[in-house]
Amino acid sequence: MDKLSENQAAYYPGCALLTIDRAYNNSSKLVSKKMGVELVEIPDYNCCGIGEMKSKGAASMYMPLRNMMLAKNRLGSKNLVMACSVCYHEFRRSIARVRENKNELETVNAIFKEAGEFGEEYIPDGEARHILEFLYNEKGVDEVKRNTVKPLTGLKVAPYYGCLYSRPSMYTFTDKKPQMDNSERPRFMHDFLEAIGAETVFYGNEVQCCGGRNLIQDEETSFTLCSQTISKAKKAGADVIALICPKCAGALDVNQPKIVEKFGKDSELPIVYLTQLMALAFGFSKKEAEFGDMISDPLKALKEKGF
Amino acid sequence: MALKKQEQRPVAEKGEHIIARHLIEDDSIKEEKNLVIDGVDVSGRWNTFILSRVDSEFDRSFFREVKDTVVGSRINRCWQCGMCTASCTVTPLYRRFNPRAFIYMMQLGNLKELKKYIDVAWRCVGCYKCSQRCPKQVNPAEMMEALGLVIKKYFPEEVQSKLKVDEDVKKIYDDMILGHGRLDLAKLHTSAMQKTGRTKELLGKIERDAIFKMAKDGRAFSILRLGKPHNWNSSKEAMGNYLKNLNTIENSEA
Amino acid sequence: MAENILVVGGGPAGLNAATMLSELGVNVALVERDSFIGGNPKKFKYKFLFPDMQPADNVIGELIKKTESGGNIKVYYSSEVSDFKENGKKFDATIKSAEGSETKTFDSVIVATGFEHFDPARDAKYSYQLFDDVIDIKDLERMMGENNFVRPSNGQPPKNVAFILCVGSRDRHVGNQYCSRVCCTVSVKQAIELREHFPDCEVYIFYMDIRTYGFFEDLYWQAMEEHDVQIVKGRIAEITSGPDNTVVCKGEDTLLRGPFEIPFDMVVLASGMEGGSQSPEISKKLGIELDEHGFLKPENITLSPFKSNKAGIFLAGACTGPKAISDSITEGAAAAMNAYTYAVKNR
Ligand SMILES: Cc1cc2nc3c(=O)[nH]c(=O)nc-3n(C[C@H](O)[C@H](O)[C@H](O)COP(=O)(O)OP(=O)(O)OC[C@H]3O[C@@H](n4cnc5c(N)ncnc54)[C@H](O)[C@@H]3O)c2cc1C
Ligand code: SF4
Ligand code: SF4
Ligand code: SF4
Repeated sequence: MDKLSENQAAYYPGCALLTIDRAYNNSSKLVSKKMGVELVEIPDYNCCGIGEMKSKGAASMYMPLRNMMLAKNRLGSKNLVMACSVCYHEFRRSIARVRENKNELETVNAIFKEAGEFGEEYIPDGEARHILEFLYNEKGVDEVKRNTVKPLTGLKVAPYYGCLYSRPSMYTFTDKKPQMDNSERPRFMHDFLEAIGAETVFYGNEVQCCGGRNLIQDEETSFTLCSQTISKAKKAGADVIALICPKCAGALDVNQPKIVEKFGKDSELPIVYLTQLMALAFGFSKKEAEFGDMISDPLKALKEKGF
Repeated sequence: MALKKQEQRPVAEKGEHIIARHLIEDDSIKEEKNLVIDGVDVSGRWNTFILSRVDSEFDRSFFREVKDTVVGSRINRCWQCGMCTASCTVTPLYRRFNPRAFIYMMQLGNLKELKKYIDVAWRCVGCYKCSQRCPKQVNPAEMMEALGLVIKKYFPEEVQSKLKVDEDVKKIYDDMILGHGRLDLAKLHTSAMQKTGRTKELLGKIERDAIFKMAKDGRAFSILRLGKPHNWNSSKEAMGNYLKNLNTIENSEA
Repeated sequence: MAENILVVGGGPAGLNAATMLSELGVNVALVERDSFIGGNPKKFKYKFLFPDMQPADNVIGELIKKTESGGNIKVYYSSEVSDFKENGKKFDATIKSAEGSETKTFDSVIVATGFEHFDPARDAKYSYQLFDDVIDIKDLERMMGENNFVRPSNGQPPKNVAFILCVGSRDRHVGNQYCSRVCCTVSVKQAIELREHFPDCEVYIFYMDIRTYGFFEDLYWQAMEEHDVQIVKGRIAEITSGPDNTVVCKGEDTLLRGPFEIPFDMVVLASGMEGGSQSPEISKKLGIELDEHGFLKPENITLSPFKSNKAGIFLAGACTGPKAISDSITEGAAAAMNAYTYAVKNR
């Protein structure tokens, strides 16, 4: 496999983005490309474990780290970019843990050795990067402004960061660059949205959890949390809620009809991905940004707002 | 020597005859419905035994077990400040879900107390608010995973009866994630619905609409694109061996 | 010829050292980066001091007066040590101030650069600076010092006030693992003052431990027994805005085992003490050690807490760790004695 050029970055799609959440995948790629970096998928990726492996000791770290190995081994990249916050968390957790804990690093390497897929040891010298943080640090807000040809003036957006993009700081922060978002009051999405001309609203649930993890066993909790988030955003005057995680979409978007059924119209609001809005502002069509994929029907809201 | 059926006395409710019964928890009353010792029928109230209401030991073996796991390795750090529970997403919805108290019970090996919370103990949504704010970086979010391991080991019956759904779903995840190396969300959804006896809902309007939409826009078939990582079997085996040889409660076969 | 001793920092510790040396006939150069002396108590206008509620002026005012009238002390205001070199057993220091630069040789040096208040804005969950009615203990000291003791948002007296202990202390995640020692006592002191000022205002203290060590415990008892201050066990996880212009404290009552979200008119954060930016700076400039908490490191914390690791350079006050004024003053005297001995020995 060819090594990456300067304008390329190794990219981990993850299972959701390859299937149901292709809108997020594709818009992330469109937007990144426009901003001057091509996302190149690592071959043969495996699932990050989506939190379901945590109680399985070092195996939970092997899962994400195998992908870090792939990035280095096949694409020559220490770092790996991803858009799913759950994946991101699993990666950063594993990297942070093995950096801090020699025993765990050794255990993980023993599994690598036994699997025999790579002829080398894993060294935790690379970072997992969330697409938002990556574009923010590597390209910057000015680059977003520069690429904005159709500013989303008049669109009121409630930025929803959810849990794992900014938390916990013991995983998201490292002593090295890049600059990470504040764990309690993240700002990067706000800055991007404002750069594309949209207006952000403050509604208090920016870093609330969607309960997506237990959606299957315990949809009641998830629905309650989502209903709180949506209704607060709506009350604050938001036209749409912007996401950076497919799990959040599973809870807030895919399940919205059920949430509305249970909690009423206050819990009804179009859900979009941040990157879809950016793509729109960068001049791509609504079709290219795949707004039609969302269950909560953002197309109608965008149309009403004149986009 | 057993007595014949008609010779048995009618049996009262467990502990029914105890004065101020309401002061004693059910679990603290030991009473055999039918018991014959040396030919003497001591069924029911004749063999009632009330356990002490005062805790009389701290069981540290338990603490060790938790400390030896990856997720529970920081159990020794917790000083019961309550920041985790105060931050928790779930506690306001289920007041009995209390990460701080659960960690404390694990520290002291108070299984008797822990048992009362099995029905809510699994409700953590993994939001890491607690871990973000915990002043000692105990990582309470992951401590809740350790709690799951502990419950599984010590209360297998309750897990079977009260947490069946949870266990079934875990199994589906395991099969896909470990078995195939990738997660098919659509299949996860449908098989979980089936396992949890909600097949009918899949035919409801909301589900149907979604399925129809995804069939129309092609996403339903993109599952085909998901595939499986080349060479996954070697990883699967290596992880399997690692898990099998673990001598901690993380060993799921133990 | 008289000895020359340099004192860096004009807080309680530095001032006491300077005046004692002056009384011994030593020529003291006192370098203070602010335009006034008196240190943090002066800067934030502390009005009444724990443990005995005496007016701060009795202590700080007294020290300032002594310093300014002590014939042998030259105070350099708004100044800094811009250059520092060892010269045999002595030290060549350049003092830079508005009046220009001056280089002198000193027989010994006392560092009394003190502490800085933890900035609660650094811990975003407390919403400091976001809500007007969330203040911290230094703000409250200043408000009391200025006789301007009301709710910042509307100028009204508060109906209920919550103190939150251990803000920026004993917290791995903000990077300060130590206990700041004074904030519990400051909080109970202020709780008493609040109750005296506004008898209708209920005061609550959210605590994990109350560390009013030694005789400071008297104030804690007083706060409860004479002023009906209520304590609640649990750390606060978040402050949000509430109805009717209130601020809501979200926490767990760890004794009752349950979450609460309670609105208050005002919240006071007991923010702790930090080594500040001055500690690493002076450590670098003078070549003395910094400890893992960000304060200056004594040569032997028990045997010689007032000595740095470098012969001839002595330490006093909160620059070596959180402490009360009395301790700072004691250390000022101890450092003075040692700096003097060193100077005389190497005359
Ligand atoms: C809110 C609050 C209330 C308190 N109330 C009380 C109380 O009631 N009673 C009590 O006993 N204690 C109290 N304390 C503790 C008290 O403030 C400290 O013990 C005391 O201020 C320490 O004195 P210091 O001289 O060591 O340091 P500081 O008071 O910090 O003085 C240090 C001085 O050095 C100067 N300086 C720093 N760096 C340099 C440099 N590089 N060059 C030149 N100058 C420099 C500073 O400007 C400052 O003037 C309180 C503390 C807090 C936080
Ligand atoms: S926040 Fe941390 S230290 Fe405090 S009770 Fe929870 S786990 Fe224990
Ligand atoms: S991770 Fe779990 S225990 Fe921690 S705050 Fe979230 S829901 Fe509560
Ligand atoms: S003195 Fe009290 S408030 Fe301050 S850090 Fe220590 S325990 Fe916390």
